[in-house]
Amino acid sequence: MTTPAGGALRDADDEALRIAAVVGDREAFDVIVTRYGPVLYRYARRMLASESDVADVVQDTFVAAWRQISGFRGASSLRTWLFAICNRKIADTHRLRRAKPVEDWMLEPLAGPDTVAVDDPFTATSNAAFLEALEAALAELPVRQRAVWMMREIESMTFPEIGEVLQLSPDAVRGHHLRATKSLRVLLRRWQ
Amino acid sequence: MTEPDPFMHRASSHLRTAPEPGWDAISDRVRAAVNAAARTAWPIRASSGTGNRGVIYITDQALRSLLARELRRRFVCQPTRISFTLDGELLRAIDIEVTGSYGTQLRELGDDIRRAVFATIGEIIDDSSQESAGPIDVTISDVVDGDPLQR
Repeated sequence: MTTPAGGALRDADDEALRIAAVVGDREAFDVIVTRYGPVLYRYARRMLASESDVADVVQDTFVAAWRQISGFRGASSLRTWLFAICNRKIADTHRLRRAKPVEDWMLEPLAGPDTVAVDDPFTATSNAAFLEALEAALAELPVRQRAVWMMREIESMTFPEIGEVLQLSPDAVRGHHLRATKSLRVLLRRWQ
Repeated sequence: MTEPDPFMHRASSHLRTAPEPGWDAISDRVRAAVNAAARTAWPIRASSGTGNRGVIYITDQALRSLLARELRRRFVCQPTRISFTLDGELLRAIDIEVTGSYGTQLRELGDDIRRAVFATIGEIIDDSSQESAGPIDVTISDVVDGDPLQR
């Protein structure tokens, strides 16, 4: 006996969504857009100099993904595949956000009577100020280090997955990650 | 092996959970662009025009999307392939592969799918355009525990 399942796609795993989209199910692809839109946006935003380029890159990524997905057999994860497309689109713009030195004051915790103890920057000072310092520190990293650090630390991707996206060996990715982490620790030393 | 770094872990958590208002602002535009993006498609005649009324076509992509959604919504299964045999612009046969679920009467599922596809096609393609329509074959290519969509 068959029971109507309602075909709830919202909670479907990535592989089920991939298969459905390959068959041609537009609703499945819409769920992919909903799931990975914010993820790709935050990645592209930190890699590109202009906010308008970010919008174009994310849009072009999903349009390309929709056109190509019938040929995507799932050799890598859906997330890795989307990141690889996004990364190519970012490179195509030739308008990367290059590493730029920031003023020291941008990386310093807010000083004040309530913020003397900075053992825990997340509670001792405002989150917004820390985020601002973190963004500034990230912008100071070389492009490849920044990309690796974000995919590893924010998106929890493995070194081999990141290597697939950036066309690098896992060891090379590990090296970039190590250097990025060291640099961030130095840049954000006043918050630790 | 990378040593755990609580400071960096908390920093990345902050970045991960920070809202992305920029995405909210462009998400409708992105969806519209995807919906407008054409993929290579073949026209299937849905209605034969008589006199000067013209002919109505549906692309194989549109029909495939419609059938995939219909089957997913109505049955505990996941369509994994829907292919059409065309004779020019006439639909001759449909071949469907699905993943079913343990505990489902699979032959009954196959019959139900065939009936649902037949009914859906009947709503879209008029009788004169499917006069010599061939079979609707259903293959259950895999069976999994629970709902195939929630593996």
